[in-house]
This record gives sequence, structure tokens and C-alpha cells, in this order.
Amino acid sequence: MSPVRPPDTPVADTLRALEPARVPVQDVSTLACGPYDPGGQPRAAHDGFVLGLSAWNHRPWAEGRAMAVEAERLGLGLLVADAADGADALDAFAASDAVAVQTARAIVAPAVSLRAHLHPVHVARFVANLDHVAAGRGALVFDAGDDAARARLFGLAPAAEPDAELDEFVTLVKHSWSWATPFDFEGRFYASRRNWLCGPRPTRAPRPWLALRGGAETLELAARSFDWLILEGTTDVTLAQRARARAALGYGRRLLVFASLEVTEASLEAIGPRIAVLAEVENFDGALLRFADGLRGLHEFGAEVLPTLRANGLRWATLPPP
Amino acid sequence: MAHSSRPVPTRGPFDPGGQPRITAPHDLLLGLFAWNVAGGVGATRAQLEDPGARRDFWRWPSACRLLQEAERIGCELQVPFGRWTGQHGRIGFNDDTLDFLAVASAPATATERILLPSTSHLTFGFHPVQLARWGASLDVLSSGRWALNVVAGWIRDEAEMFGEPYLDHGRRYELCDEFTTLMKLCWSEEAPFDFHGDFFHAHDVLVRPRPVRAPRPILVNAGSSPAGMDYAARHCDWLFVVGDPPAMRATSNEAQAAAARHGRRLQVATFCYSVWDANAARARAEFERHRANLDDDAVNWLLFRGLDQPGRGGGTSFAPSPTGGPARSLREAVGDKSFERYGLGIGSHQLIGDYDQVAEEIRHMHRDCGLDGILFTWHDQVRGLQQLEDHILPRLRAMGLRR
Repeated sequence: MSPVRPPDTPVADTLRALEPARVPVQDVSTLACGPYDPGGQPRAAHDGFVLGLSAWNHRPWAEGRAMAVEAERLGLGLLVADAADGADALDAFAASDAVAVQTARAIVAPAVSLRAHLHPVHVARFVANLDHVAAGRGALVFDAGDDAARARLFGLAPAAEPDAELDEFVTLVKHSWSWATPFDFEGRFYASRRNWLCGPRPTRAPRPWLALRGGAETLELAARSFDWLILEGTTDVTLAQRARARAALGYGRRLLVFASLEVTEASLEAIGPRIAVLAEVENFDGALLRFADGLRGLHEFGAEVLPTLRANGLRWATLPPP
Repeated sequence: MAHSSRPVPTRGPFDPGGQPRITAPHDLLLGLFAWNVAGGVGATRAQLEDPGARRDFWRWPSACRLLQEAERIGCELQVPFGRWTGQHGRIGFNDDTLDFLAVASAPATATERILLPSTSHLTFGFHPVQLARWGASLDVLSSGRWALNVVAGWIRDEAEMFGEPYLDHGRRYELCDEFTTLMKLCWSEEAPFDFHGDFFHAHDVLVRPRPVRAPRPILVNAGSSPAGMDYAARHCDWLFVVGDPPAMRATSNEAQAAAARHGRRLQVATFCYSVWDANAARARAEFERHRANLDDDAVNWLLFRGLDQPGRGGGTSFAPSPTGGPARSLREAVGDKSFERYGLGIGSHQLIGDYDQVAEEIRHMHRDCGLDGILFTWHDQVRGLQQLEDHILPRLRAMGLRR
């Protein structure tokens, strides 16, 4: 809203002379990729194996909301809203905000990817606000790889170097969360001038958790720039071990590795033993579950699988209550 | 689904299915403004006497309780402020803001009736398909209560954060025109379609879920320049006018006539910097306290950014320097009155007085100036809502303006 009329040309010079003194701007362009963790990485959120729910926002709102609330009641510690582009699904950021205020213990994480026509400054702000309304339970999942369909939807060219671009994207998100004074950033893929983004800053210190979701090819990027790796399409235990080792030995960082599991009526019987193996034998840090049958599948999982896991001694972790 | 090969428009006016309306049992709609931003629209150090209540009421969950209270007493409207950078100063004016997604999505399940608009800057790197999707999702989450307050994006410092060139004034509204046309297509087309405009391209677009409100969500704009008014007349359903009642009436008439030329209707609203009391002298004294404690540093940024818009045109508000030489400060350049008015309400009407005076001014703005909606912004938002409920609404009901 700009109610004061602007100057005509003769007074433009006068205006320029009256520009308020600016705070010096720091050029951070040399810090354009990971590893970059100003203030360190956020601590591991859970003390134990994590069960998470994904794609709840791909169900109609009443059902998706009920799934998120029920998942938390069952002790699931992570609610991932999958990117909605191209699907009949609620937007991941909007739906995560709405569910964040209905839950109290689960981490709430929208998913995003390159070619979603978002600038890192947009994403930094949305997640900081999510973290504010969620009282420090906000996180962000990046889906790795180029997405040709999404690029076409928005009339964009596909990413030529998706890993390098995503690394720069997440680094600029970290800059936007951490600087208390304005900065300039001129990277290969993104620029941001005089960035002095509005608060609120994220509630979680030093920042919200960042997850990368993808296959074996994402290992190096996850080790360098993310806190969690959510393996898709594979539960190869050697990949998980290599990813953690690469983060620790290559970059002095900590990386948690999650598996992704699809739960269907046919797989329900086998899912309990599979989770037990992931947790106790293969040393995964968690499993992100997607229920083909929505709320009904989650109810069946809660009634038929979790009691057996509990009886066999598996404990799955949630954040402590606020 | 079969791809649509039908040509699609790239410019407005464009209202497939017509324009949406807000239904209420009375013509005058009321609400609150700028509840989501630190300090609201009052850049005064007076808020530091109780920062938690008067500067930081935007925080969650106090902001949610504010909206619930507004809804409980019968407010139909609220409009959040849109900011990407703060104005700083001694009070950190506008340095914290709930963003345009959170202001609608977080309260969606905590409220039932009040409108939940987002204030969004269309030139800040967004794509119309994406905003159409966000809007549809927010409309579903809120059961049809989402609206979009369109801001073209006039603060250069904010625009440059996104690494994009800062567009001049006319070009910004050309972009908004195309942006809004494509957004409306996303909300109305039944089959996948392509779009090729000057600013945006899209392929195989089909937005699902659709918005709940028919024929589409309500669009609001506060453009006051000729280009801004023209955009509102061709695309929007509500126009915010800023200024004193005589100017409101002129602007309202002008905007509605412009909309009518396109076969459209435009409802008009405003917001008021409000200081009310049972006693007029006490209300005036409280306002003087705000004025005496103005945070000049914050107003300097606010004003400088408002003025620094190449190509916007319009008349200058620079006054001659009292010394005859170049102005030494923005306060001197625009004069104390304009400077202070900008600092306390960003140029809006200042509604100061006892309850009878306030109710009469509201009646005047509605009946005589043609305003369909009036929003308030108070130094103390909670107390302001209580005053509205206890003292103003009964008077408006007695005047026959509210049920």
C-alpha cells in the first residue's frame, strides 16, 4: 500500500540525498554451497527410531487432517506433506501450517523441489513461519533430482545441474535464516540482494531440520548439506552406512538416514517385521510410511502392527511434549 | 484428460462465471487490519511501554486469539499486511510478520466465519499457477474463506531480495494483469490448458482441488495510482482506498465508474488508525502521546521506500524547505503533518474521538462516502476489539447500520 504520492523527477535527486543511512551489507557469495552450517546442525530431534507419515496431504482435507492427528496420537514423530504439483492434493506448505497448529509433538515438514518456481528466500520464509506457528517443530524436505514435468508446467527449462543447484538453494535458505544484518548473495543459480528478510526467525536453534529425499545418487549432497537423508526406492543398508560415514568423515557432519515404505493392505502383515529389521538390524534412524489406503490404512497399522512392534520391544520416538 | 486447445485470454477484464460476493445480513462490513505485523501501522515508541501486547501481538498463538475474538464479536473482515523486509528504527517496526501463507492456513481451523485473506506481492518471483494452487488449497482449508489482497510489489529493497530486476510502476501492473488472468484461468478451466503471455508461460495446467468459493476467491487491491486503479477495476472485487473521507468518496466513485465501464462491480473499503475513548479529550491525548513518540527512523525508511518508485507518476508531496534550501530530512521535505500521518497509519484516515464521534464518522464513511467495509487498527488490538463490541457496535445497530 503506497498512499503517499511519489516525487516528480525534479525532486528525485532530493529524495536520493535523503535516503536513510543503510546498515553495511555483507557479501556472502563465496559461501554458495555446502557444507555450511552456521551455528551448527540442529540436534537429533528424537531419541530413538522415528516413524513418520508422508503424503497425508494427498488425501481430501478432512481425511488428511485426521491422518495427521491420528499419526501423532499413535506416536509417529514426523508428518511430511508431499509436494502437490501435478496431483489433486493440498499444497504442502499451506497444509503443514494448518496441521502444525492441530498437533503438539510431531515434526511437520512440507516437501519441495527445484522447478517449483520458488526462490530460496520464499522457502526460507515459509519454513520460518511454519516453525513459529509449530513452536519449533518445523522442518523441510527437498525432493532431489530434476523434475521435467514441473519445469514444463511453469514454462521453465529443466535443471542442467540439479545437485549443484539444490546445494546452492539450500545454502541460500541457511543464509536467510542466520544473518542478523543484510547480505548480498550472487550464486551460479540464484541471487539475492540486500537480503534482510523479515522475522520471525525460525524458533528451532540453530535452524529447522533439512531433509533430502532421493535415491543412491543423493548420498553425497545429503552428506554435505542436509541433516536427514530419506532414501526412496531402496532400503540398501550399505547406502545408509556410506551416507553417514561420508557425512562424518568427509564433512564432520551428522546425517540421519530414513527408509521409505509403502503400506498397502497386501503389505500390512510384512511391514511390522520389516520395520523391526530396519530399526534393530540395519540401523536405520527411521521409516517414513505412505499409506495407500489413507486413514483406513493408518488405523489398521495402528491396530495390527504397532502393538506387535511394541510387544517385541521396539520403541519409536517422538519429540518431548511442549 | 483431453487437453484444451481453446485460445485463452492474457489480459483482463476476465471473470469466468462472474464475480464473487461476501454475504452478510448488513451492508456495512467491519474488521481489523495489519494484525500480523510487528507494530501494526503505528510507528510509535509508545508501544514499547508493553511490547508484548502492543508491538508483538502478531505472534502465534496470540494472533489466533485476536482473530477468534474479532469473529466472536461479529467482524466479517480482516486484512493482513504484506512485508518481506522490516522498517527497523528503534522499535523494529514491521521487522516481524506472519507470512501470507501462515496468516490464512494457521487460523483456518481455529475460526469459522471471518474472511482469511493473504496479502501477496505478485512481482516477487511467484508464478500464477503456483499462487492459484496455494489459493485453492487455502480456500479448501478455510471452507471458502480465503481471499487474495494483491500487492504489485513497490518496495525496491524487497523486490531485489529475489534477484529479479525491479520493474517500474507501469510494468508491475502489466505483470499483475497477466498474472491475475492466468490465475483466474487456473480456477475456472475444466481441462488442461497452455498459456503463453509476455511474463509467464505454462503447459498442461489443471489445478486440483478447486477453490470452494464460487465462482472463485475474492480479489482485493489497494492501488491508488491510475495504473493501480485500472487494474482493480478490471480484475478485483474490492478496492482499498486510503485517505480522509472526502478523498475516499471521490476515489470510490472513480473506481466504481471505472469498473462499471468494464461491466464489473467494485466494492470499496478503507482502514483507519484508531484511538477511541469514552472521553474525546482523552482519546486526543492518547493520540498525541503516539505522535510525540513517533519513531522517526522507522518512518524515514517507510516513507523513503514509498517515494522511491520510478515511473509511478502523480503529484509530488514535497513541501518547500523552511530554510529555502534543500530539505535536510524527509520530515522536512514532506512536512510534519504528512510525515506524522504516514508514521501513524501509513496515510490512512485517523479515527480519533469518543464513541459517539467514532460511530458518527463510521456512519458518514459508509452512507455518504460509499464505503462497504471499514477496518480498524489500534495501538492495543485487544482493547480496540473490546471497545468495538461494547461501545461502537451498539451505536451502529441503533443507527440501523448493523444487525
